[in-house]
Amino acid sequence: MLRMSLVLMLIASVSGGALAYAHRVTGPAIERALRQAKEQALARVLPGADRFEDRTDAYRDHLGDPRFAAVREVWEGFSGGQSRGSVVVAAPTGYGGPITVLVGVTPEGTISGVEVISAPGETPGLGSRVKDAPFLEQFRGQAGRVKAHAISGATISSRAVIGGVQAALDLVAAGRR
Amino acid sequence: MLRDFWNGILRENPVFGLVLGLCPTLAVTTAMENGLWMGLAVIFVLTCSNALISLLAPVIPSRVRIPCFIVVIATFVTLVDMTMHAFIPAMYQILGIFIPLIVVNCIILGRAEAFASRKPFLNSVADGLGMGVGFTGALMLIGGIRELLGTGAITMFGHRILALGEGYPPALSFILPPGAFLTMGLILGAFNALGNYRASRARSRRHAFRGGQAGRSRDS
Repeated sequence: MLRMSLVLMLIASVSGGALAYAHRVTGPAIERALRQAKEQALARVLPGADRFEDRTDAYRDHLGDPRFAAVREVWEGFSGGQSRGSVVVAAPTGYGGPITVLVGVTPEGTISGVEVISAPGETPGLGSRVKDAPFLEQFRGQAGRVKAHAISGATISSRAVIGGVQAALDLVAAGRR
Repeated sequence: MLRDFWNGILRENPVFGLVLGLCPTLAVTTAMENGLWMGLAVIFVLTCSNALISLLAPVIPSRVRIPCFIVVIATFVTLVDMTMHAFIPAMYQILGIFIPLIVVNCIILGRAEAFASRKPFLNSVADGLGMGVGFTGALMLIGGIRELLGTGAITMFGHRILALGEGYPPALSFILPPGAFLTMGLILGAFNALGNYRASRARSRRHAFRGGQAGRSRDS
């Protein structure tokens, strides 16, 4: 009886120690990978900006509005000391879960780029095509009321992304007023 | 020992011979490269867990052996999970939840219980490696077929290595669940047919060798 407990305890302790060590070793690398992926994505939708600052708190009042329910974060992009526009991170609900969308908005209020960085719940080959360039290119340069062709056979996924982009545009416009 | 290695690749291939670990097999094989990385993760976990369990088994009381095996397996899986997240984050996102699910992959606990816990260290390592390589091969085979027929091309490490040409309309269902089951089932059938054919050839050779009633085979 005692032997069973001792052996289990020993194995669990060694396992815990090994995992704690591995966590310490890989932790910084994982943080770095996540941050880098985020910054690269932000820069892709707002070309010309190389530094980003989190402005989500400044938009806190607006975020209570149901129109902006999908918005998660707002970043402002800088180059040198000058603002190059904003990037909104939104997570509208798609077919099988949230779709994480990045929307870049210039200081003039037009869309500089849209990227879908995660859409795990969308059907591969159908809804997942909202991640592809042909669909996302449509948004570039648009302002005001967003118009886009949905993907055949992927109405829900397409509408989710379009809605997310619209919310992003509206939020930035509201914030600038 | 070499035979233990080859065993896991052909005769007792985890997917087509033992028919184990089908859930990740079906889910992950939407592309050949996904199958490769999943397979590599399983090779690491299987080999390390077989090795460690083969060393520890003599001192583990029989009644707590399953919890002990699981802790060992889960530790290695978590190590792989952390490492993949840190160093190949793109593939980590693609494989998603199926990396942690390696813990409950029947192949690993199955080999630990059926082989590693009662065989010597080197044999267990060979078995782990062989089963892992066999699993990887199966995943890449299924993934390759599904990707080729479902998207018209196979892409590995960013390079398109095989394409069916512009005239081929991709059969989307191959990268969806129905394609997974179809592909796996047909390959499994082919493996079984091959096995049956070789077994009946061996049987008729034995009949002929025994010299007696040549040409009379009861079961072919």
